[in-house]
Amino acid sequence: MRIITAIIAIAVGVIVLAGYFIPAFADLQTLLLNWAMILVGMAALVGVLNLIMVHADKIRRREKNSIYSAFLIIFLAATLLFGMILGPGHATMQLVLEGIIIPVEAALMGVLTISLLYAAIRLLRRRANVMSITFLLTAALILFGSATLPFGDVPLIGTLLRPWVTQVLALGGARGILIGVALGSLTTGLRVLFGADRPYGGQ
Amino acid sequence: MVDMIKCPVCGEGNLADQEFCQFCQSRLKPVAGKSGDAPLMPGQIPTKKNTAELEPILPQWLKDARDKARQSIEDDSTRTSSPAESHASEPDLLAGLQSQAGSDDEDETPDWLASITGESHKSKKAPPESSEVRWVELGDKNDFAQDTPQDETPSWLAGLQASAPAASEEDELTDWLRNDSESKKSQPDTDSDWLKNLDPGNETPSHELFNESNSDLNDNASLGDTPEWLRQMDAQASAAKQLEPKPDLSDSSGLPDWFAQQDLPVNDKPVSSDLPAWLNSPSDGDQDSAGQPAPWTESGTSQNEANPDWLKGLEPASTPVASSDDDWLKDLQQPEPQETAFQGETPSWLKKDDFEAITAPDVPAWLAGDNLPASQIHEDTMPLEKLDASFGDIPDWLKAAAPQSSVFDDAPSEAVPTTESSDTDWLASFKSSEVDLPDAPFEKGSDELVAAPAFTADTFQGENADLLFQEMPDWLSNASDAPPSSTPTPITSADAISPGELPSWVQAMRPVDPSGGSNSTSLSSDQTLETRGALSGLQGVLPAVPGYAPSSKPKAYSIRLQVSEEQQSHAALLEQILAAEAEPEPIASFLPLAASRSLRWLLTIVIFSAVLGTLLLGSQFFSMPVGMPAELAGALQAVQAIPEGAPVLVATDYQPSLVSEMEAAAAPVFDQMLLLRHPRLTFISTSETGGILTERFIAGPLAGHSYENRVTYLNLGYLPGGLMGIRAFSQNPSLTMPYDIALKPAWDSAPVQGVSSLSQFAAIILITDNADSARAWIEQTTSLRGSIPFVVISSAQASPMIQPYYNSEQINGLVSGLYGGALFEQNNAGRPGTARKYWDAYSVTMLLTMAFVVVGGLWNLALGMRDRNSAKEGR
Repeated sequence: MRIITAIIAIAVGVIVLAGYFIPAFADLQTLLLNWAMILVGMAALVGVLNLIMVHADKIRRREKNSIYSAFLIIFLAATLLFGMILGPGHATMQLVLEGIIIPVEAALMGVLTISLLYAAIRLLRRRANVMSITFLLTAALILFGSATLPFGDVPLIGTLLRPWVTQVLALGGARGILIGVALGSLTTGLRVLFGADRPYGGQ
Repeated sequence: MVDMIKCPVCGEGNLADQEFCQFCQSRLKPVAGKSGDAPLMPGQIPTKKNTAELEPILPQWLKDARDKARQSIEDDSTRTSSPAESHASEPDLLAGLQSQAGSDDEDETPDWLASITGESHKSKKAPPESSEVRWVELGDKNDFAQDTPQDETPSWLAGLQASAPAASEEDELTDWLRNDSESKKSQPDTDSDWLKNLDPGNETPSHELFNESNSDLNDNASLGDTPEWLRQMDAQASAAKQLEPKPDLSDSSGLPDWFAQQDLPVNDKPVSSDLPAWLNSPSDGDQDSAGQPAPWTESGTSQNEANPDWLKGLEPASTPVASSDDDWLKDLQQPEPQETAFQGETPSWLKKDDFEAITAPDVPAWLAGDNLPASQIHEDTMPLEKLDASFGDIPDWLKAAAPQSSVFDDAPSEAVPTTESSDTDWLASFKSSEVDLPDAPFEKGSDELVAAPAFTADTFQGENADLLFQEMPDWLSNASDAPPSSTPTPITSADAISPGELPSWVQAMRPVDPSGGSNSTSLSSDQTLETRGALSGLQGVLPAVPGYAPSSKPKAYSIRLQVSEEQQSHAALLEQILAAEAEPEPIASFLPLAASRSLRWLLTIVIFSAVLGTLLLGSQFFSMPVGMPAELAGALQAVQAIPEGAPVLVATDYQPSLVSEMEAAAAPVFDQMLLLRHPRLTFISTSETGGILTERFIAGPLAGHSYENRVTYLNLGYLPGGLMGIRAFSQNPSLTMPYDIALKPAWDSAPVQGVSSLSQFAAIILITDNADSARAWIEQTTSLRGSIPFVVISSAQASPMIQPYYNSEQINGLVSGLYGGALFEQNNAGRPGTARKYWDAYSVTMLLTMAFVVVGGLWNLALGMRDRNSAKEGR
């Protein structure tokens, strides 16, 4: 069974890879990718069902904070129901988005902002080293450089230092990260193609 | 099936019940010891035994013999003047046997002993007990059972028998013996006649007998039964007789010296050298007999030379010793007893004329030697060769039984004291009764000779008694210990030869343990049975000698490791090193900082106050950023390059949390684009909320452009599959996303008219807050989008990761965050004004945040240094 699954995975991978270079394999690649999209959609649906079962089990066992599980299940079902019935572009669905999803996530982002600021302030008390100081100084510099003063950009920082930090230092680091990600993706793809890694099972 | 035993010597098979090999006469079974039936082991010393303890087990015949001996001694003491009487009753070593012959236990008397004593043999067949003397010595009575009966008595011993042998025995006697017995009164015609003349029963004087026998040696025609050794002697005698003139009486070289001395008078009369001296001596007065050459003597030798040493003691009284030893011989010619200085050392019975009955050739030389005084024997130190020659007349069977050399091997100096200590009680009784015993004169006469005692009175006098019993062969003395049984009794632990009862000659051959007797005692007593190893099954082969055994408790060695202090220190150091390797390195722990709730509330209040205050006030205090970054310029150029009414693919992939930033950054771009180019927009999202956010974006910041769904824009909704979905959509958009967000066919709507592939879009605008999403859209559409412009509107946090794609020209422009939107909005103459609305709040928050970070960081740095210093001081 493991051999069969490996053969299928490798064959699909090889075909999809060949579709990037050989136009003849493009249709086959598209077909396989569509199958993959269906599987991913079904996986998302399975995930939603799993989420419902877990929280339903908590409600059945009356565990602590199971009320939140009940709320989750209720609003999940309602959103699903309204979305399937009314459609995503309906005003009701927009109200749900505007009144619930965006404020909640925005509030979480604001809490994150306060937490990060609080941590930055307390960082040097716990770990007063060069990296911490550098980290705080860089953050302060970018914040200060990103803002403007009533009379324009922050001199030297907003016009020279912040762009140099963001376009040189940060870009250098980002490129390195992207190169690493690309090499990692290539290696991972090759290992999967050669059967060294079997994320589909059988390992 | 008859059990057979293989002889260990000759290898011949024998019956299991036989003790000796019928072919080689070797012992088939080992002699059993006394205790434990084990023979004397090498290295063991026979334990001395008080023979008095054996007194009760003496055979009856021996007891009787001893009693008679005592009685005869007592009688002799009363009849010192009548030697003839004492002659018959004189105790002798063998006299006791003789006396016993007349008793009820006469059957136990050995035949040959009976012959020596001259006792007329009874017609009754001798019982096998007569051979106990031998079988006891050798361990088994049956060994000699075939030899001991009278029927099988050797012919040479038969001649020693009584003058009137039984008729039933005659047929078994050899002819020459038979003739001998018949020639008591006639001329002897055999070689044994001269021997028979020694018979005490013969009234013929000994010298005459010898003369007659010597004269008849050559006339002996019946040699058929003559023993070989006698025949050889006869032949020698004949030859000597022919070659030599008839010897003078003085020539006694042919006779045994001791015998010749008997013939010699006290004044050293020479004897014939042809006869054995011991034969010449009795025939001293007879010139004829003296002239007869003895068949076994060596011609041409002097008297002293021809005589064995042990016979030299019987030489004439030219020397004090010889005179003393010859007393018993002198009695042959001097009927009256002669008191000599050494009389006490000479057995009286040997001094008598009837010594022939004892020392005659029919008496074994070894037995005759026993009659010699021990002191004389040892003083003369008889050579072994001569001693063996003297034993030449001993039959083989008797040789095997008789100790030949052991008797003489014992040193006199050692024998005397040991005798004193080892004499049995009954021997002591002999000695006690010998004090006043006079010499019993040897009287001629058959009666006297027949009754000639083996022990005379003088035999038991003084040292002679001791020496006599001392030198008595052990085997013979041991014979007295044999139980008086008529049937062969098996040797038991009681009567078997014990180590202490071993013959002296065996004891002399044993290895002497120099360590002492105590060790030997323990040696002999150690009969440990080996259970393992090559010696398994053997007993007493590895005796534990006390001298070599550990005398004390074995030293106890401690099992504790003996190490020095230095070694211990090194071991401890090594142990510490190994323990340090395995010990986890402690992680510096920090005291948990108490959550500064006030600080958090302070920060929250300050930030919210600044943001809310700025937003609610709608102030535009802070100036907009100035400048035009390259990526922003590229984005602006790309937007401006979109053809009028061209389809534009807009990928929205951001989260609702960042919707404000993303809409503030994207609104200026779309405002300019929609305002200027009126593109047909097709929205697709890789986020689940992307479709709704798209509707919000159209209905929010772009509400002024009056874009309608499926008219001017198409919301395809959520594109599942991530990278695969993007790739699939890039290859075939209509196949991948056939329906819009309202589940209506999308690709027949107005916004996507004429669009069947990705490259047919006029531009691709990606609105994302995630670098991975931007990378996926950029990478998966590179080969499929062709040359259409690709503009990315990203959040501020994702712009650094997308900036490289702009630098690598994979995208045409990048608008990042509120800062980018503010810059792009400045190119739209301030429209729609979204960036500007948020910019004061943004700037204030950024400054406050920067201030909190700097001030708060420095403050906490100082607090941290204080804490660390206080911690160091506390340590």
